[in-house]
Amino acid sequence: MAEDEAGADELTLAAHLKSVSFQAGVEEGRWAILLEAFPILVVRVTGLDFSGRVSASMEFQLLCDGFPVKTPFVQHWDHASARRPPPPSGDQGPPGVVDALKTWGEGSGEYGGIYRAWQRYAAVHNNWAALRPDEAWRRDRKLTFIMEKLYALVSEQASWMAARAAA
Amino acid sequence: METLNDAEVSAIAEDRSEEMIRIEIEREGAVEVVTLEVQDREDLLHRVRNQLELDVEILIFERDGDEPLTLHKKGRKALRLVAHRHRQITVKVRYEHRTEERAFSPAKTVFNVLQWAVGKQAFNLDPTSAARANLILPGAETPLPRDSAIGNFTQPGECVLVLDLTLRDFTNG
Repeated sequence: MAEDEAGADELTLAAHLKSVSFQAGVEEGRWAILLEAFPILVVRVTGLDFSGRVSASMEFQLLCDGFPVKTPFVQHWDHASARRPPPPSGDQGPPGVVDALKTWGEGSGEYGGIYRAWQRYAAVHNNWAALRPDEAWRRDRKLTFIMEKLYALVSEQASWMAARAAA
Repeated sequence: METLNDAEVSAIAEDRSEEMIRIEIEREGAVEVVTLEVQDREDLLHRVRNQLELDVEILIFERDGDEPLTLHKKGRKALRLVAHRHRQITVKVRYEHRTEERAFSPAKTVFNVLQWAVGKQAFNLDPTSAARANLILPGAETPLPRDSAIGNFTQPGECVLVLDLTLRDFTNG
């Protein structure tokens, strides 16, 4: 039944949020929950450069309907204004971050979310998830899999900021 | 004989749950990640050792930590740990005709090693190349998972890990 399925996705997400790996990430300062209103989850992720001296933070909105069978939709987010920030230009971040946060359309023409194989619409774009199963979401993965991807993305930004400051 | 009312029983249960630390631990040579619940006491590391029957020479690190844990960190409720027999692993990264090496704790993640490898302390890749870079075991077909501890990839008894830095587009087969 539809109601039962809806309950299962919410319960599963709640269990993932309580998991050791997710809570350890919170205690380590890697991520924090800003809003939990199923199916929406808003998080702040803080990444570090290699030295650990330069940090960067970004906010993301995850749409977790159908979790974990359905791949979460993830987009860059500004929690204060409740909207997606403009995509960064080439002088605002490294190429990997600019590419991941670019504005692109999935099949229906709507914004497709973060452009990475583990994200709902990017996963099916050009068969990306099938070509990179190691990077793709699977129903047996934990939400922490996506959180670590976001941590790596934000850390890439921190590394770029550190390199710019040193230049 | 005094008996506890429901509120008192519930308060005690809550206190006990607050004293518990939940732990996930990766062990050298084991695929399975073990989850434990251990009381938040000074001998927490000793209890982890006992529960997992770890040899005395096995070191316990916090995931992504530089040094083995010697004291229990108070105030934590969830810990990700890595158990490994070596304090450090010498990681040798090959790219084009050069090899760079550096010692890392076995609890450091592949992502952390990649940050070093593409940075100015190693190969100093331009931002476009750095965005495409991955670390891969020699001869492997897929890059190493970036969120794994590097201690998972050493051979038993070895403290050297050789990796290749690659800019290959793995979506093209």
